Amino acid sequence: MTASASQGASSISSSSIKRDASEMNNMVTMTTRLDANATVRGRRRPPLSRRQRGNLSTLLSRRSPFSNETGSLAIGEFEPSAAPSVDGVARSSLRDARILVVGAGGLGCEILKDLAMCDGIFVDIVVMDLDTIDVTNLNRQFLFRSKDVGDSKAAVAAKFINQRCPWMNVVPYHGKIQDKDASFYRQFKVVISGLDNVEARSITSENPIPTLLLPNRWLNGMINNLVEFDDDGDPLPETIIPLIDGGTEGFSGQSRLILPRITSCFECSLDAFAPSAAVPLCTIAETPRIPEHCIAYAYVLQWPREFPDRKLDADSSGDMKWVYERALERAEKFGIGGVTYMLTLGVVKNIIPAVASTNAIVSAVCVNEAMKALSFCSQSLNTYMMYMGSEGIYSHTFVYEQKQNCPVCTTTTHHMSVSSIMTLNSLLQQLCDGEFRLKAPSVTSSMKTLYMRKPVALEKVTRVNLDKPLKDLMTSGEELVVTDPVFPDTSLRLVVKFTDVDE
Amino acid sequence: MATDDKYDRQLRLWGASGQRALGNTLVVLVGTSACGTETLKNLVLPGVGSILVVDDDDDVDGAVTTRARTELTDSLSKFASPASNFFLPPPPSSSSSRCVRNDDGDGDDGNSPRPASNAARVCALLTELNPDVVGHHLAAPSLEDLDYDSFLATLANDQPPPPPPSSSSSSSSSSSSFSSTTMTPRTVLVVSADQPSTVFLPLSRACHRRSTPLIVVRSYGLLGYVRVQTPMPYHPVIEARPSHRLPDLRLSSWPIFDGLADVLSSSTDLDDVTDTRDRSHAPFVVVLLQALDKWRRRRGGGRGVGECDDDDDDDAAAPPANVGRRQRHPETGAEKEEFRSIVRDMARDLNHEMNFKEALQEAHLIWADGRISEDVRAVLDRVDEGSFLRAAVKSDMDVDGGVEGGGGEAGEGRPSYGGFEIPPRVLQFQLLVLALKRFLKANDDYPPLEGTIPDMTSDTARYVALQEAYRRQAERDRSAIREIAKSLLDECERQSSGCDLRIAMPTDDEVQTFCKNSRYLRILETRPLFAEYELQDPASPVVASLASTLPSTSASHNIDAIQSDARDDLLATTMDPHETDPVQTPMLWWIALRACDAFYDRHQHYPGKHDQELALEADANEVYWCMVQIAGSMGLTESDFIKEHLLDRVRGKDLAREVVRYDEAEIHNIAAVVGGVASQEAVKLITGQYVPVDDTYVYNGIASTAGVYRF
Ligand SMILES: [Zn+2]
Repeated sequence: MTASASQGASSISSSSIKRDASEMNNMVTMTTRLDANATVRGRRRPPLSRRQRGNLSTLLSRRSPFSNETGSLAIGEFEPSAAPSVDGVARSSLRDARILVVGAGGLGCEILKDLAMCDGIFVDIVVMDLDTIDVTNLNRQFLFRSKDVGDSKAAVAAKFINQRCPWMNVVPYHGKIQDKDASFYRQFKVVISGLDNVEARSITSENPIPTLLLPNRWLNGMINNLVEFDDDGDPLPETIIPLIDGGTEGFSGQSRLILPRITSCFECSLDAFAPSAAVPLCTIAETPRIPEHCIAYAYVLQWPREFPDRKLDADSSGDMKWVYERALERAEKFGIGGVTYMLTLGVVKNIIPAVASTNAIVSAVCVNEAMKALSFCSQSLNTYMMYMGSEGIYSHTFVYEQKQNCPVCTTTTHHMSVSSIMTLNSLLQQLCDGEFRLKAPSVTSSMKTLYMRKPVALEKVTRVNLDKPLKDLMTSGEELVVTDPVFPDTSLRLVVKFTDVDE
Repeated sequence: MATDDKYDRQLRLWGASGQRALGNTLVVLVGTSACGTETLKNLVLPGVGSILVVDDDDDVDGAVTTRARTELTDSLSKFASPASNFFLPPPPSSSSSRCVRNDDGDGDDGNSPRPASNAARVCALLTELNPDVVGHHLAAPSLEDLDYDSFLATLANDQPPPPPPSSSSSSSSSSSSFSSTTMTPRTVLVVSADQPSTVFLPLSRACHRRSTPLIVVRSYGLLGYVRVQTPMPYHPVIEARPSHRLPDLRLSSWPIFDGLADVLSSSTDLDDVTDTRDRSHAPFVVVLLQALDKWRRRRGGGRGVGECDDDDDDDAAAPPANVGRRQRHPETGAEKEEFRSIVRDMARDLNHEMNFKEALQEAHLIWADGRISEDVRAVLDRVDEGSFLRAAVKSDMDVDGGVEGGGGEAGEGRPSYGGFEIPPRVLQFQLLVLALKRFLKANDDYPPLEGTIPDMTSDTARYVALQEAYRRQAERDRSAIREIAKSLLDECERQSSGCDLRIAMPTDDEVQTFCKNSRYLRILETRPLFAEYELQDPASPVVASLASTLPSTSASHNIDAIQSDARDDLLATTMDPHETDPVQTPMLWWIALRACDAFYDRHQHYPGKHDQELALEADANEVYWCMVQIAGSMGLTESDFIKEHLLDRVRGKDLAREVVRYDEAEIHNIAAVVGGVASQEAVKLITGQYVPVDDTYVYNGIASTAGVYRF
């Protein structure tokens, strides 16, 4: 054993080291015995491990009865390349295909490795992630080691891949996807998204319910928005960038192929990610029953009282210990059992359990779809595959239907009927709570700006409108344009009718 | 960082006990292809105890070498050319590379430096992922000639080395490792990666006899599969962790247990409560029980049909010996509706009395039967006291009988399939199941109470009191189970006449876990892989011996029954083609893969070696012929689905052409899917938590469809 075994110490590691000595002895004994067997038998043919197997180049060079154009979701026509190349020499068109990988976490590490192992046919990759490496990533994000903790995920992942696979050119971007505009996203031939589905860090005392899925929705909006149309209103094929999206939770996960404006999009399936019901504040404050209520009390109510000027840092063990101890005190006061430090972390950070195996499955399905969507060497996933591994294996592939009126991938105008005395603020609230699940909407009518969040100056001017009844701001049946950070560069067209006004 | 436990995210899935089980496991990988290394990667990362990588190698001239560790050098971790296996650098070109070490690291350049074997290189790159994991590697001259029986026998020992070769002495030493209960036996799990039947069939037999779980993984072009073979006699699951658990509230049992009766009797009749806050903060459990009382009174005294009992309260304390005394609860649709309307009438304002709303939603808990389910009953029926006692006190005599001497013939025709030793984990499971059986007999088929209740609208005091009542009763049930288990062990002790037992008393934590999950106990028993091949060949003598060991639902153990059972299973699955595109149903592609294996058996290489159209077409013809044969031997030729998509020559030939096109290609994406699925199954087999697949998962990467089949 080397000294490295002392890192990431746990009780498990020490016991396995102790066992090592006796294990070695066993091995040696076994060696002699197997040895005797082998020499008696002799050898017949070269070892199985040295047999020549085909590779991806073989597939790309041979015709197939099941090439992409034969599938139920056809993207392009397969042209077998000439002879398969032996030494990874450029297959021109594919090598030029630049691929964007969004997220360098559990899925992202796998996706980068899978792309690098495509027999050298993919080279140019950009990987984006705003996160830094945490020790709890190490059980699955295998491009990181304990020495990398605190560094940029995108940078370390890119460096690792470029080092082991010198033919790869992975360029990291450490930052938010929202930093980049359409001209950036337009350069890619395919986008693979392996984002965590929850913005864990957005939980604060003002906003105890995590804001779901903002990056996924933003990216989906962006890629859908890149599609241009011809005079007949049909999408131009060269502007359609396949978006392949994966997500996991515990032993379950899903992969899907989104052909913007052709298949359903991420927004179409928003209802599948129902936000979990929030615990009412009065329960937390007055009638706690389970440990989670006590923890919520400590970080939602007690923390801001105690530290009005400082936000809780869920990554600080000092802060988290404080929350844990307050929660424990409260639990003891009410005779509630079960508050642990681990549960405290889980509740405050809204932790979703994650393992290497599920990430591997979902990522590889995604990259396989990327490979096929670029090479057309086989059919495409139509359109959604789910995998559930906890009770046996349940795995299901099906067409996820486009949602009528999807605000992103259809061009419908939406209709709403409200009372004319409803305030603009209530209307905005309804847009957040209702089917659209917006985050921070701004609204303009054809005549004027009703409410704008940015820039600050405009917000100040329009803020007065929030408390005005709608009848003072617009006429019944007028079309409003709603923008929101979940829909980059695009907007929702909303016709609002008054229920109490005759036209 | 708020925690420095790198395993935090997975501990939330399988807990500390699961993690301990992982740390105590040796995973053996036979074959170093990508789907094998991907499987191991996903087990090294979460912290499996140790790995042993085995492969055959040109450079081993008759000598098998094992090493604990190969140093990670630059030449190992920087790939010279594109590859499809992230943990196996392409072999260095012969001139430049002969300085790669495969020694333990002392002596930088020995006199005769050899390139590291495949196994050594894979082991070095895998163990680098996690310093907690101990790595070994073994290079053999031929995987087809390995004696897997003695190989596994050596691995199972976690003791000082057994005395060498002679079969009789080594057998006694291997079983002595269980004689002391202070020593935890190491678990071994075997993964066979991308091997032909000449390797996986002997491996399957050896694992079966050695009661070792086996996972067979394969990636072949755009296709792949994972197959699980459970250890003998079966894989017990205590913590099935179902995604939906019905709350264990026991509202329909009669009498309800003392603690709950106390809560009920100390609650004021909600009709008499005027304070709105008081009314709206009574737990729905109280609402439902009061409603049930009303319903029973309305039904004329609430007595069971034809029964009469005067004093409910006294009755509640007495053991429920007489089933006939049970009071009725709503059963028919009309009765349930009647019950719901009583709850509705009790509420004064359903919009503000959340607890009454919850009571309506959860009314089904009143008629939910808390007794043991048919599924669990089937588990209980598999365990009997007699054979448990024999296994627990079994002396070392015939434990390894017929195994050590098995050698290369791999037991063909010998009735030795019953000669395995019941693993300690199974013994412990059986002990607890037997305790449960006695408990059920004494408790009208109600299992130990779980002891936890869901969150519900309530004030703190009443909720905590209710929770406490359930917790106390659960504790009482648990100690009853513990006492029964103890007395069972005492019986073992008496029968052992001084010999050591192969089982010890489970810890309190283990008893608690068992009790909490007793409503979800499962047993998984797959048909062994070799049996699939042999069952399809009625001439095989093994079929006869299998007939005596395989579980059979009918009393008659005959070959026909087993064969038709297997075929019915398969035929049934052909009724379920993929909805959008039937030709992408994974079952068809499984048959195509089997045909490629058959092709290999005939030619010693896989189809599609040569690029010329004519050669490819000739291979496709032969593969197609094999597919038809295999479909026949699987008993599928009468299936309309198989007729339409496989026996139809035009369509069937396309399947053959596609697999011939692959030339057994290793496509990394497919290998990674397969490795991901396999490692998930491995974790389930190792931890005894969640339910493993029964028995094969087939992934079709052409259209990304997948299916689970029992072969
Ligand atoms: Zn959409």
